[in-house]
Amino acid sequence: MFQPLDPLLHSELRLAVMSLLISTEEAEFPYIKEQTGATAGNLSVQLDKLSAAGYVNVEKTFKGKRPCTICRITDQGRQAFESYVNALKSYLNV
Amino acid sequence: MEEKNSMTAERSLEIITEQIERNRKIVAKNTGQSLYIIGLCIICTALLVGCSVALTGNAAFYFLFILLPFIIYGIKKYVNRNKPKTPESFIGNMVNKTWLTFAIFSILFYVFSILFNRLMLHDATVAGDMMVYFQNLIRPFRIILLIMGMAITINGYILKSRWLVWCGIIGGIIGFFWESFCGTETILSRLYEMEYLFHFLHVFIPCFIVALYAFVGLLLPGIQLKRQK
Repeated sequence: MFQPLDPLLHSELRLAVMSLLISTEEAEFPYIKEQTGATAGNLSVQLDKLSAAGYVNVEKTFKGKRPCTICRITDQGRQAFESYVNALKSYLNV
Repeated sequence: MEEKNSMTAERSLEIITEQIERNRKIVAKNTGQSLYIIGLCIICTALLVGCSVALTGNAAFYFLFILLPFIIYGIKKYVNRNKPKTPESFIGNMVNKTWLTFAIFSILFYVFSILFNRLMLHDATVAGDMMVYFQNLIRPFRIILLIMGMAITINGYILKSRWLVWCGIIGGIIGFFWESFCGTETILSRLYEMEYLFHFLHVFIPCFIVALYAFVGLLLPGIQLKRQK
């Protein structure tokens, strides 16, 4: 029996963002944008979706006078990612 | 990367692997660059201090070492200007904190030993009708070399680099005994007739040893991490 895949994570950009955040404590918006190659608008929308689901914590601060958005993965996000990878394993028979 | 919801399981796994691997490389490169900058700063400062003190005889140049953290901070800021901040990794954090701990302990111990040597512990004995005073000096350099060796060894374990572990152990122990048994003075005693050269090397060699340790413990691992594929 296959485990269902989390529809929120089963999207290229959101999955890339979560994969990136899982291996770091926190990452700034420009760094995520650079690594995923996404546009600022698209990334912002996807981050909002992840944030609304409680997978990611988005903190808006200032770096000097410039606005700075810092993203962190939450415990809930970490659990969801683990479940997603386990589900993938069951599909691939790994 | 576009918004696609119809992915195969293989593609999902590929994205996860790709992102984690790419991030790991960038973080490793960033840690390497950080070690490289710190190493280069320590080498340059040690050689500058060695030459300056040896040529001018002014020991105040040693205080340039205390300015090192500020110099390193400034250079790192300049190098990383206009670049998005790279996230910190557990390994990068551990390496940085090891060197930060080393810097705190060595600077504090160095300052303490200077004060101690100047102000404290003047023993006195009576020799006939005279009072003879002598001073028990702390030689800070041997302890600094020992803890520098420890920092290199710990970094070797963190970075899983066997040669670095051995360099740290051997360097720390040799450095400690070298200084404890006045290795520099013993070798230089043969040059007592060449007073100027004796004085120059007596001051310069300890600084050169610090530069050498920074080369092995910071610059080489930095280059190794930067070139990691």
